[in-house]
Amino acid sequence: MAVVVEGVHPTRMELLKLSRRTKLAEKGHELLREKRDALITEFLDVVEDVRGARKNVEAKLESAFRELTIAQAILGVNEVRQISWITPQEIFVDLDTRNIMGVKVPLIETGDITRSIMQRGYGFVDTSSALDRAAKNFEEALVSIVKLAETEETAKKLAAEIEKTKRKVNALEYIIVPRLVATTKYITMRLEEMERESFCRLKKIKAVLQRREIE
Amino acid sequence: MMHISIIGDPDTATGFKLAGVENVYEATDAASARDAMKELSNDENTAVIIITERLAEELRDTIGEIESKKDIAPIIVEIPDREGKIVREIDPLRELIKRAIGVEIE
Repeated sequence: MAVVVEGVHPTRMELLKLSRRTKLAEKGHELLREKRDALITEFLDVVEDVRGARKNVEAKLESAFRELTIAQAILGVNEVRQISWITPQEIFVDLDTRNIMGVKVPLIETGDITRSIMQRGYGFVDTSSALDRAAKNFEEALVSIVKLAETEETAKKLAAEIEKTKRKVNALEYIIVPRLVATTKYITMRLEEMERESFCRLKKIKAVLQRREIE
Repeated sequence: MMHISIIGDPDTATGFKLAGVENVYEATDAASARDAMKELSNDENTAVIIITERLAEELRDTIGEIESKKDIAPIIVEIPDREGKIVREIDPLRELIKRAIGVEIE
């Protein structure tokens, strides 16, 4: 049995107020439930995307590391390292946000990450084609990592919002609405009781008055 | 204009430097990775922090702290290193689904 809202007076005025509040709470509950269901549908779609993106990243990185190992074997670990320091570093991204049902989720925009051989900035004479393949594979891996970052973050944000909405729905469903209903019942019963009391009182008074008249 | 940053072992660092990433932090142990992570989390020009799963596993607490404080940026994404992905007791994605929906879905 739900607890009665504290500090209410059993009056008709309160009863009216309560019935308005109950209606509002029920409507809010309905709306939030719909929001939660819509968010979950969206979330499950995004989760599928995350899975795909992660698989993609894993595959791309695996081949990138394979090529890197070959390049390191041909040129030497330190040589590859030195070359990596002279490649031009100019990757910029734009972080924007987009709105999914009131949830702010990220939108990452990148310029061209994949480059042509000429843009990589190292000489061809003393390097190997394995190095080119390694660089190319890492560039491609980076593109898919950025995509993964975006979808994964979206999933996290949606999950947080679902949790929040779920808590609100549950609070309304299991605490607030039952409490309002219990209070309404309490006031109705209290009013009926008062009515019966005054009815009895009137009867009694009438009887007393009648007796006096006879005397 | 924002950056992508990487925290990783020497091989990962070399690879992404080749790809043209500017902010590459080479970390061989958890302590230096943690320092890099803290520094990056305060840099408002960093949009994405890429970290290897192996290092990320070592600094779960730091990452958790950053995740709970930030709004959108920086987005922290974990990637496998040269040895491939690590085997985890709990798959983070599955954990997320469980928390959000309350049931496990394959």
